[in-house]
Amino acid sequence: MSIGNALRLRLYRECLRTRFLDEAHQKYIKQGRCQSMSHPATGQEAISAGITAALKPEDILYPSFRGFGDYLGRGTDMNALVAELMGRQGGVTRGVGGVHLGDRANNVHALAGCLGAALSLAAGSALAVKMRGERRVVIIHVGEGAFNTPDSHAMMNMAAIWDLPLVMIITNNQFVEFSYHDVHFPPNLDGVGCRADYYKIPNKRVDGNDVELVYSETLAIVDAARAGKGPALLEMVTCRIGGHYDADPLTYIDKELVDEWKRKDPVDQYETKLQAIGLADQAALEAIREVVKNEVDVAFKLALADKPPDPACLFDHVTEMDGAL
Amino acid sequence: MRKVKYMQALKEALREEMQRDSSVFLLGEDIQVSNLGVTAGLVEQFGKERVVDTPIHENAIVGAAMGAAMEGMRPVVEIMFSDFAFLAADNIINQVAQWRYITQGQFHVPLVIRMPTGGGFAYGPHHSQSTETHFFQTPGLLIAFPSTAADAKGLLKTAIRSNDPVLFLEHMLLCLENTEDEIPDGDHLVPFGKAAIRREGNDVTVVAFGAMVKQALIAAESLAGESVGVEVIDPRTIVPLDTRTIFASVAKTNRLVIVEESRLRGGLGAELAAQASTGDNFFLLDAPIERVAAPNIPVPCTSVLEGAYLPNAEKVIAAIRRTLAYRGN
Repeated sequence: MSIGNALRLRLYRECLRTRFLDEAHQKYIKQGRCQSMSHPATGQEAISAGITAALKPEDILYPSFRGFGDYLGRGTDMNALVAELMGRQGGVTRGVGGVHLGDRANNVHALAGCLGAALSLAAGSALAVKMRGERRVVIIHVGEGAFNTPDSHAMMNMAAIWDLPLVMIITNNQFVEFSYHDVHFPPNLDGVGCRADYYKIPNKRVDGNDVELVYSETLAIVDAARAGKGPALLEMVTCRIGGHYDADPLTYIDKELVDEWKRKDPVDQYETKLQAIGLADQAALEAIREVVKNEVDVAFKLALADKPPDPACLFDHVTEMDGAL
Repeated sequence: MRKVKYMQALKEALREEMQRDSSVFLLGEDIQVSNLGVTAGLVEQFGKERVVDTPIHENAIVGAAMGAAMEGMRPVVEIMFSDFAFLAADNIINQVAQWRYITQGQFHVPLVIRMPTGGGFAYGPHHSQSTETHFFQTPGLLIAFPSTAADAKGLLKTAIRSNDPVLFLEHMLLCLENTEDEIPDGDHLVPFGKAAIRREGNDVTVVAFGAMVKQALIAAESLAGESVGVEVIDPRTIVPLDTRTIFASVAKTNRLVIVEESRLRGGLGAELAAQASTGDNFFLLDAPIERVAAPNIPVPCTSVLEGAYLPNAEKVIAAIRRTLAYRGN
C-alpha cells in the first residue's frame, strides 16, 4: 500500500509531538511546577503516531497511559491537554481528571488508573457499535502489563464470542512497570499477543519502531474490523527507553538492552528514511522540529498564565442530580 | 390499578422500557432462562441480541456494560446475587461511579445493575448478603431498594431512564412471594429520593429498608394493640436518601429505630444515627436511637442459625420497647 507524502510528514510530526511534550512535561515536573505524573513514551512514539493515523474520526479509541500521542493523534487540543497536566481551569477537565482525561469530541475515552479496566470497557463499546450496526471500530491501546491482567481473557473471550469490531494494540516495550517479563510471563512463550490464538483472533507481531509499518498494519485490521471481519490484535514490539514514570529510580534498567534499542530509535530511523527517499532534507526536518517545539512551548506558557481550578466547582458532575448525594 | 406480584412488576418494567427505547438491552449470566425468574420470557419477546447471556465474568460484564453505556446504549446488567457484586467492585466503584466526575460530564454512564439480594433461604455466606452498604460509601452511584411491587416497577423504570448509574436491589424473598400489590396502570414511574410513609404513628419512627419494611409493619401492627403508634418509613432509595421525610417524622415522634438487613457496623443505621446527632436534629430525640441490623458476622447456613442472624419483627418490637422505656422522662 502506498503512503502519501502528506501522511509521511504527519507521522513524523506526531512522533515529535509525543516526544517533545513528554520532555517538556518532565522538565516542569522536575522544576516542581507540575503536579501530574509523566509516563513518558520515550522510544515508543511511533506506535501512537501510526495507530491514530489509521483511524477515522468516528472510530473510538481507548488510549494508552504512556505518553499523550494517542490523544494528540486524535486531535486533542495541545493547549487544553497541557493545561490539564498543569492543573489549570483551561484543562480538558478543568484540572479534575488530570492524566485520566478523556476527550469525547475526538472519541478518545478517559483512562482508568487501575490498568486493565479499559479492556472490558472497550469490548462493551464495540458491542454497542455492533448493536447499532454502525461502521465504526473500537481500538484499545495497552501495554503488555495491562494486557496480562485478568480481564484480558474476558475481553478477548467476549470479542470472539460476539464477533466484535475491536482492534487490540498491545505495546510490548520489554518492561512492566519496574520489572521484566520473567516476573509476569512464563518462560519460553512465543510472544505476548499470540495468547489471542486461543480465541482464534488473528494476531501478528509488528516492529513497533517502524512508524509506517505500524500505520499500515493497523490500517489493515481496522479496515477489516470495519467491514465486519471481527476482532484482531497487533503486538507492537518496542522498548521503553525511559523509566515507568518521571521519578523512576531506574536502578533495575538493563543498560545493554536499552542501548541496543536506542540504536533503533523510531524518530531517528524515520528521519533517515525521509531523507533517503528525498521527501525532506536536514533543514526541512529541523523546521518541523521547530514548529513542534514551539507548539509545546506555547502550550506550557499559556497554562502557566492560566488560573488554577476554582474549589467552587468541587461538587460539579458527580451525578446529574445537583451537588453531592 | 391491577394486582401484581413483585417479580412480575420487575419484568413489566423491563419489558415496557425495552419496548419504549431500543437502546435498552439486558445482559447477565443465564438471564435468558433466568433461574430466579425476573427476566424469564423476555428473550422470546426481544431476541438474543437484546437479552444477552454472558460468560462468567462479573467485572468484565459490568465493564462491557459501562463501555456500551458510554456509547449510546442503556444496558441493564444482572449480577445474579448481590454477593457477586464484589467480583465487579473495581468497575463499579473505580470506573462506573466516578466517570462522570473524572471526565467532568464528557462521558456519563446510564447503566442499571440489578442485584437479587438478601437472605432467608439458608443459602449461606455467598448467596445471602446485603451488600448495599459497601457501595453506599461510593459517590456517584444511585441505589434503589423497592419493598413493594408498585415501587419495584416504578423505581426500575426510573432507574433505566436515569442518566446516572443505579444499583437496583431486588430482595429475593420479595421476588418469590405470592402476595400481590396494587400497581397503577400506565407509565408508572417512582422518583428517586422520595420516601414512602407506609404507616402513620406518633410514638416512634421506624425507618426500614427492603424486606425489612414488612417486618417493621408486622411489629407496628402488633404494638398497635398496646396503643403504641409506630410510624414506618420506607426510604425506597438508599442514595439519594430522603432524610427530610425521615427527620420530619422524628420531629413528630422523638424516637428513632432503623431496621436493615445489612450489618450493624457502618450500616445505613449508622449513617442515620450520625445524622440524627448532627445540627438541629440533635434536639429531636427523647430516647437513644435503636439500630436493628445483622450482626458483624458472615451469614451462616441452616435456617436456625440464619434466623438468629437476620433481623425480624420480634427484634424490631424489642427495639421499639427499649425506646419507649424512656417515655415520661
